[in-house]
Amino acid sequence: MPTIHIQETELPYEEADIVTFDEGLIGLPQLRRMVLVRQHDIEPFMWLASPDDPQSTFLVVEPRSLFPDYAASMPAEAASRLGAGAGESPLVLVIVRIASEWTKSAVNLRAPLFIAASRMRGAQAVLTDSAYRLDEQLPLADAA
Amino acid sequence: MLVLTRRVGEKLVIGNEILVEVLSVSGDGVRLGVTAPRETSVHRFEVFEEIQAANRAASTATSAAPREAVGEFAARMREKKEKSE
Repeated sequence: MPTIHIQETELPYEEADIVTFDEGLIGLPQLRRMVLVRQHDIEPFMWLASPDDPQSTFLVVEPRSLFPDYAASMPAEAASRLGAGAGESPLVLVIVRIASEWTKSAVNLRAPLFIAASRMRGAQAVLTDSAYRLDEQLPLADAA
Repeated sequence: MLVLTRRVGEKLVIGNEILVEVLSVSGDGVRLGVTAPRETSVHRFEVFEEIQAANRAASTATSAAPREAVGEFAARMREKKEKSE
């Protein structure tokens, strides 16, 4: 089984776990193959890592676990790229920017990732018409 | 960079499928109409640049974060979430 090196740890993954982003992430077209890696001690977060480039690792989270009201409607072009079947609701993830002072960490609610698990295809899209921010503060940070 | 002159109502084609039409010009503003395949994303460059920067910053921050910091951050988030429920 191949492994991926994330933060000094070798984590196993399977080829079947690779999500293909046909256009890469926005502004990072080389990131076409990404693996979603779950690791118990970083829940609710997950890793989205490139098996080809160890420098490209993202901390991601299902936005509704932090923002229960979050509603991202998938832009049409992202839906076409996923080729998601009608009725299939894709997995939605947002990217976390971790800060050295953790309460200052932020999430990008404006450009979520949509993943159609049935086809293992992903796309990052911009919610242009929404008020979501690309550096939304963590909802619980103020209680720290 | 390829530089072309177009008049209002004229178009250019990028590849086989992307059409850009000059719809109107007023002062230093130009209205463009873009026709592209459904799966092609079209952004204002500023939006693209902003998301690109956010993606890079997130990736850099993750690589720079010590292993324990991520674990601790996650633990704190779980703790806060439990309290809020």
